[in-house]
Amino acid sequence: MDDDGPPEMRSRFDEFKVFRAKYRPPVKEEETAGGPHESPARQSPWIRAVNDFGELEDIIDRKIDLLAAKQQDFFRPRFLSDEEEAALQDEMETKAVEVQKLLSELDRMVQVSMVPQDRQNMEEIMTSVNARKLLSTRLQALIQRLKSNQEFYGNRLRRRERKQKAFGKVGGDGAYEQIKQEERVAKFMSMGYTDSDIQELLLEETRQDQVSEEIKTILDNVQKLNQMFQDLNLLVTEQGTMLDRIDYNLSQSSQYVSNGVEQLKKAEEHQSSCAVL
Amino acid sequence: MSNCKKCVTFHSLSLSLSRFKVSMSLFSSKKEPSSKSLFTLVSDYVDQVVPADKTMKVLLVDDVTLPIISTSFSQTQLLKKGVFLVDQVRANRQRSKVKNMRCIIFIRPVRHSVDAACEELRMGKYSSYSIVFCGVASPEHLDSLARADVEQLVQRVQEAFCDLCVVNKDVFLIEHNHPDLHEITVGGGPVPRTHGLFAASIPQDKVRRLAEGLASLFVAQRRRPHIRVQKRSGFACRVAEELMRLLKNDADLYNYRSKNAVLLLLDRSDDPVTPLLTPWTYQAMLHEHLGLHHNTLHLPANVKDADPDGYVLSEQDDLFFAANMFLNWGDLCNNVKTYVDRCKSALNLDRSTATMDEIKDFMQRIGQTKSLAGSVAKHATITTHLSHVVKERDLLQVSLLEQDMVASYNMNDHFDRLQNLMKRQDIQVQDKVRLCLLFNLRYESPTQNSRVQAVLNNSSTSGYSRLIEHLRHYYGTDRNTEELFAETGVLSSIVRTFVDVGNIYTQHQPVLKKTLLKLLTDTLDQSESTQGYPYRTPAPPGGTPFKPEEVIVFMCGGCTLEEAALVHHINHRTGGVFGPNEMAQMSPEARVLLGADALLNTELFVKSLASGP
Repeated sequence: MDDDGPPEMRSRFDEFKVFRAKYRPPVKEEETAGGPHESPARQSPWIRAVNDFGELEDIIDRKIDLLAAKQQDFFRPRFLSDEEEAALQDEMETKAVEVQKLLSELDRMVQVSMVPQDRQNMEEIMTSVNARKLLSTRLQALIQRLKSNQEFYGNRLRRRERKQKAFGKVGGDGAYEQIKQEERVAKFMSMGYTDSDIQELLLEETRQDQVSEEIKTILDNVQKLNQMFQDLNLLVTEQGTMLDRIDYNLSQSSQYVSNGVEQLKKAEEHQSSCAVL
Repeated sequence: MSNCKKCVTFHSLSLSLSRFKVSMSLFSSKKEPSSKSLFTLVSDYVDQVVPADKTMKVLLVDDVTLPIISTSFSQTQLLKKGVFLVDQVRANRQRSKVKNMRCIIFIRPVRHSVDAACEELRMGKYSSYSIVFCGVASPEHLDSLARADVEQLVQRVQEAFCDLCVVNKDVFLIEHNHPDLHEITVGGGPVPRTHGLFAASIPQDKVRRLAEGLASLFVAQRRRPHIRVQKRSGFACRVAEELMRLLKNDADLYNYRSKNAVLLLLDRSDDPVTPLLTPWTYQAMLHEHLGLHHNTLHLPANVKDADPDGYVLSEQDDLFFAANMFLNWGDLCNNVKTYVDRCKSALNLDRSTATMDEIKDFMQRIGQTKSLAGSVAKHATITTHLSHVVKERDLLQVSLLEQDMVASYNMNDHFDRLQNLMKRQDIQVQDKVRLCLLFNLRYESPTQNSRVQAVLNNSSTSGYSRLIEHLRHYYGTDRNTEELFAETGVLSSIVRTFVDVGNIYTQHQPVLKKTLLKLLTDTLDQSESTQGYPYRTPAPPGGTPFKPEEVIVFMCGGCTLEEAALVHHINHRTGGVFGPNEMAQMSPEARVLLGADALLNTELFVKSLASGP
C-alpha cells in the first residue's frame, strides 16, 4: 500500500456553506472563527489554572533543558580551581531547587485549583476531573525528567568523588564498608520495607557513607520528587486498562449522572411528602 | 500516535523484562506484515478528527462511533489532545453553555444522529463546531445541519473513512446495531441475543450498513478492489449489489486503482461447522466462555480476585495477550505459568547477593514491575477461571468427540459416544445440542429420518430438535456436507494418524482455509454457477494468473476467532497453515483482512440458528 501521509478525508464544508447561505446571510469568517472569547472573569478558576499550567510547564521544560546542558558541561575536562568548581555546583544546585519549587507549584495547582466552580453542573465536574487527570500525567512526565536527570548527575558526581578518594587512600577499607552496608539494606528489604522506606534507608546509607554534602542534597531532593511522583500516581491511569477506555469512562460518567438525578428525585419526593405533612 | 505509545510501553517493558531475565520467547518477535494494522488505520483517522492544539475540546459521539474510537484510541490519548469531555451526542442531560470549549461532533451519517447533532447546534453551547462523519454524508444531512446552525458556529464539515470496529490488527467488524437485539448483561456491555443469519431475514438497512462500511474501507486503503461474491449466498449478493451501487453513485470518491486488491464476500452458511466447535485458542476461548465485547470482558462477579471494572484484551496494548492470543490452551497455560514465575522472581530480588546498585535499579523500575505484576494477575485470574469452566463442562470429552467427528468417519462409534454423553447430567444442554448438530451434518441427510433428532427429542434438549432443520436449511438442503470435513479416505487417515498427530483438539480446519488458498492462487471458481465466486467488477485480464496481495474477506453472517487465528497465521506465515508448495503458488506479499458483521461463539451461533429463517 502506498499509504504514507495523512489518511484520506473529504471536506464537505463548501457544500455545507452553500446550504447555510440559503437560510441566513453568511457572517464574515473572522466572526465565526470562534475560540475562547469569553471574558476571563466568567471563567472558572480551574480553566485558568489549566492555561497557567501550560505556561509554567513550558518554562520548567526549558529550565530542565538548561540545567541538563550545564551539568553535561560540568563534567567536561578542564582546569578549574576548587572554588570555581564549588561555585558552579552551587549554581546548579540553586537552579535545581528553583525548578523543584516550580514543580511543587504545579503540584499545588493539580491538587488544589482543579475544583469545579458550579458543583451542580455535571459537565463541568466531568471536564475538570479529566483536566486534572491530564495535568497529573503531564506533571508526572516533567517530574520523571527532572528526577532521572538529577539521579544521573548525582551518580556521576559520586563516581567522580570515589575516584578522587581512591587516589587519596589505597586500601580495602571503603570496599569492606560498602559490603557491610549492602548486607544491611538487603536485610531491610527482606523485612518488607516499601519503596519509599527503602529510599529513606538508601539515603541513610549514603549519609553513613559520608558522601559530600552536594550529593546528599541532590539525593534528598530526588527523594522529595519521588514522593510527589507517588502521590500523582493515584491520579494517573495506566494504559491498556478499563480505566483508559473511552467507552468505559463515558458509561461511568453517565451512570454517575443518572445516580445524581435519582438522588435529586428522592430529595424532591422527600420534600413534597414533608409538605403534605 | 498509537504506534508511538506502543513503542514506549514496549521499550519500558522490555527493559524491565530483560532486567529480570524474563525469557523474551514469551514475546517472540513476529515478522510484521508491511501493511499497516487496522488499529493504526483508525487511530490515524482519530488524530485527524481531533486536531492537536491547545484549546479545550469536547467530543460528541453516537453509538456507532463510540466503539470505533474506543477500540483503537485511549482516554489518555484523547486527553493529551485536549479533549476534556466525551459524551453521547444524544445525551439526555442538559449541558450548560461552555463557550470556552470547542466541540467536535463525530457521528455516523444517519438520520437520528444527524438530528441529535442539529439539536446540539441549535443550542450552540460551545464556541465552535466541527462535524465529522465516519462515512459519506448525504446532501439532506448537510442541509438539515446547515438549517440548524443558527449562530453559524460550524467551521468544519468532513468525512473520515473509518467505519469499522477493530478486533485484531487484521480483523474487523461492521456492526449493525438493532436495539431490540441486545440485552444488558450484569456489569458488561450489551451482548447480542441473536443475530440474523438467514438471507431473507436480513433487513435492507443492514445490507446498506455493511456496504457503506466496506466502501469506506476502500477509501481508507486508497484502493478500489476487485469484488468477488459467493454466488450461492443471497446475503452476500445483496451486499455486493449495494456496494456496486455506492461505488457508482460517488465514482470520484472511489476513484483508485485496484492493483492486486480483492474483496471476497462470503457467507457464514458456507461453513456452519466452525462456529459449532469448542475453540481451544486463547482469544477464541475468551469469547466462547466469557464473551468479548469490543475487546473487553467481565469475569462473573463470584470469581475470586476478579476486577469489577472488567478487563481489556486487545493485542494493541497488551503484550502478553498479543504473544499468546492464538496459542492453544496447553501452550497458553505453560506460558502463563512461566509468566507468573518470572514475575515472582522479579519481585523477589535475590537479596543475599544483591548489590547496592541492583537494589537501586530495582527501586527505579518498581513502576514497571508493578504493571508487569498487574498484567500477570490479569492473565492468571482469567486462565484460572477458564480452567474451571473447561473442567465443569468436561469440555475435553465433548471436544474430543467433536474433533473425532470432524476428522474421521466412524458413524456407529460416534453415535454410541454421543448417546453416552447425552445421558450424562453434568454435560450442559448447549454442548449436547452442538454434538447432535455436528452428528447430523456429518452422518445424516436431510431426506432420511434423523437418529439424533430422536435423541434430542428424548431428553432435556427436546426444545432444540427443530434446530436440525434450521441448520440444514441454513447450509442448503441440496448441498453435500462432505466438504465441511476433513478428507477421510484410507490414505489421508493414515497420513493423519502417523504424520501430523499434532494436537487432537485442534484437528479441525475451517473451510475458509481452502477458500483462501484458492483465492490466493487464482484457482477459485469464477463461474456464475451456484458453486462459483464470480467477479462483480471487471475481472482482471487473463493470461497470467492473478495473484491477489491485498485481500479483504468479508463473512456475511459473522466470523469466528478460529478464523481470525487462521488469518493471523496466513499473514505472519506461521502455524504451518499452508505448505511450502502452496506458498510458492501465491504472492509473497499476500495479506488478508477478515471482516464480518458479528463475532460468533457457539452460543450466539446456535441461538441465531434457533431464531430461524
